[in-house]
Amino acid sequence: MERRQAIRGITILAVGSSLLPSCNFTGDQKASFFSNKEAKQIAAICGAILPVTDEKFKPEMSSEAFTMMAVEECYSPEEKEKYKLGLQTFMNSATEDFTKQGKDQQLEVLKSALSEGADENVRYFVSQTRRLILRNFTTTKSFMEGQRSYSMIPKPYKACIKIS
Amino acid sequence: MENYDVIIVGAGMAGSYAAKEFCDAGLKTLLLERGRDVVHLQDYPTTSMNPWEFKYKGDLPWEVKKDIPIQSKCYACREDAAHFFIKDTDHPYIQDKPFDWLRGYQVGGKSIMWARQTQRWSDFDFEGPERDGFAVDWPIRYKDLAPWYDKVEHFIGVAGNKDGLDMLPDGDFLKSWDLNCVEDHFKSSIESAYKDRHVIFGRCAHLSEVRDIHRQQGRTLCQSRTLCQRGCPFGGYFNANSTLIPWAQRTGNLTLRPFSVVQSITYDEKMGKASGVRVIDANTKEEMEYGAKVVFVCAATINTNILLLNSKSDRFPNGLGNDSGVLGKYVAFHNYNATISGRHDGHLEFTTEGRKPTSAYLPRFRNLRRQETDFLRGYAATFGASRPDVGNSDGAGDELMANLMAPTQPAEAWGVYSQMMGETIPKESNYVSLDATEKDQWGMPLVHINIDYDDNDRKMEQDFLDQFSEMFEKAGFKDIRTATNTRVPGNDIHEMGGVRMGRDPKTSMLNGNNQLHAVPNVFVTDGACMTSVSTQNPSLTFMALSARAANFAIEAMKKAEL
Ligand SMILES: Cc1cc2nc3c(=O)[nH]c(=O)nc-3n(C[C@H](O)[C@H](O)[C@H](O)COP(=O)(O)OP(=O)(O)OC[C@H]3O[C@@H](n4cnc5c(N)ncnc54)[C@H](O)[C@@H]3O)c2cc1C
Repeated sequence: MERRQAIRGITILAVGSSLLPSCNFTGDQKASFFSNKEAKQIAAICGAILPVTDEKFKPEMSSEAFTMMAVEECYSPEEKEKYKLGLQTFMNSATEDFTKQGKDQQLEVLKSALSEGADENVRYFVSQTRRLILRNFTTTKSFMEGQRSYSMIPKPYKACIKIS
Repeated sequence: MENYDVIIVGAGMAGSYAAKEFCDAGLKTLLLERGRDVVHLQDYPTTSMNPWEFKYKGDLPWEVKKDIPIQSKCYACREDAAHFFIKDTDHPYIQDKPFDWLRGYQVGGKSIMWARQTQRWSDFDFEGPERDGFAVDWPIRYKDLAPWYDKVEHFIGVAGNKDGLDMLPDGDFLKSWDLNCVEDHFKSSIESAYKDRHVIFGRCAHLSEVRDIHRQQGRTLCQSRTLCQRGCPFGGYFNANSTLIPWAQRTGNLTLRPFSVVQSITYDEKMGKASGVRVIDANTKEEMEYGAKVVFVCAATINTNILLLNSKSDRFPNGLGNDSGVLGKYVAFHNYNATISGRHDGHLEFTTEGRKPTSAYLPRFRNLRRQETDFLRGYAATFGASRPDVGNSDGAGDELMANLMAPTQPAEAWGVYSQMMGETIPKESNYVSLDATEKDQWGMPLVHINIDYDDNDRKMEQDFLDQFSEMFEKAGFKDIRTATNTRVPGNDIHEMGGVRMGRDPKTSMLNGNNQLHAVPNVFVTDGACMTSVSTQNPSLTFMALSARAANFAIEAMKKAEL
């Protein structure tokens, strides 16, 4: 009872924006660190790694927009350069335009980019992109609440429950 | 010049506790804080944000990260709470040896982001230096502090069990969270295999129940959100902002002045005592002085050392009260440098639900009742067993999406983990000192930090790993992995000493009431005063010492002795 009262009795402050500096990047706009061509490439890779077809689970910010923003704004200059070099090597070494390839072919290309013998920068680029796509997708409201039963205030702690 | 009964330097938990005591006693109190104000509820901008509301989903932008290379090594300094840590580039120091100096400059200090572990010390700790022949004898014993632990625990709210252990005395606890079944299993296994080893639930400053005193503070039940580092809208854990400062303000006796960098304590040669403090406004850089009968220094260990070292006069050319020459020396810390993890394949029919704000704890057992090893002192340890629900994020394309959408399953085994919290020995060679020329933007000399591990620490780390490997094996844990060299000193955030208490003015700075031997109206009650460091998280002890010293000063002022 006390718990419910506590929850009801407290006005949780509405929070508009984070305190941290940010650029004006919004929605699906392309970050300036990447050229149009590069942005298209990243979008194609994001679509191949995690095709989000169900409208309900579309992230608040698309995978490619989040990935480009995170790289541009959160990575150190060295990390950014490495990412970009990987992206460019990926694009230059392709025998065929990735954006025009079929799904299966794209997945094959990505698999080989992540394999042991692949170019180090390319591996870095693809694995970082995959990591950021997952971070973005798994922290969306629809996924966390719908698929992971997330609640800021969890159920009361139970130290030991039998799995049914 | 404005005059007060008392001036307190630093509005963290040590200074704010003293402020509460003085204000309750009707004394006009000036609380000077170098950072900004952080008002409970009002200034916790991220407290109610969901993960998807964070722009970077937990990471920090490079614009911020590049200026906090030290602070960002702290696990709590992430997108949700980085604004409570200082900017390293604004507050430089000189690492003669690697040392992570983690700081929060604001009203509330580090009490906003702390991990809330609150274990009492015992006479195994206070008698340690004398028994084992290091540092100097503490001028107090457990009995001197016990009533003040009671008082502080009652006021701030500490959850725990009465475990009946002499090395970790019980207090006036709120009900505890429970150990989970694997933690319980470890407890039974250890307690049946070893005579003097115990696994308990760590005591922590959370309101697992609400007493009248907490209602009076406007706080309510901890919801186990485990988002404490953001500040809590329920006041469910203790920080100075929710608990001490509003209380002191309600008395009408508190003047809180943020953005006030105390540069030195002024000394009146004729009166033979401190007359007040010299302050620089952090924003305008304007200089001002305040006067008081009593000065409490609670700027946290290293800043307190800096302040005293920088308070020079004809009488004290080497820093205030520093007749002995020990000021800045004998600094010690907690050795968190070894961890162990493993897997438990039993109890697979069980899991946990919800979250809990703290973990199990093993009080010190090594060299406790007698010297048993070739190193001095011992270690406490955290212990945790968890079995999170895990999802599958393997593959790519439709396969990855299908994996992500599949329901989570309890992990196939329990993960178990422990980390040492070792006592280090205060030594003259572990010290802080002021640079002769370099200053920060407020005119304070830069500090040199010269602190390192020693052989004793290395042997203790190995012993922790050996003992815990054995204990993990006895409990049937598998796939045991150990790690050392994970942290440099300072990253434990428990640095202590430099202005140590002691019986003899020739070898210590403070007496048993935390007064400078040579300047009795100046008190130091934060980590700087600690003669030795024990294994327990120290902040509860800082508050108990603050409360005790403040009440001593109140009585002495009543008798016009200060
Ligand atoms: C992430 C984290 C986890 C922790 N977990 C635990 C734990 O579980 N248990 C535990 O016991 N401890 C823990 N600690 C350590 C604990 O937070 C500190 O020991 C405690 O907060 C110290 O209190 P204090 O008042 O002495 O110092 P602080 O909280 O640092 O306050 C000192 C204040 O003085 C101000 N100041 C400094 N210099 C000046 C000056 N010249 N003039 C004016 N003001 C000045 C500072 O701005 C600051 O606000 C943790 C710390 C952190 C960061």
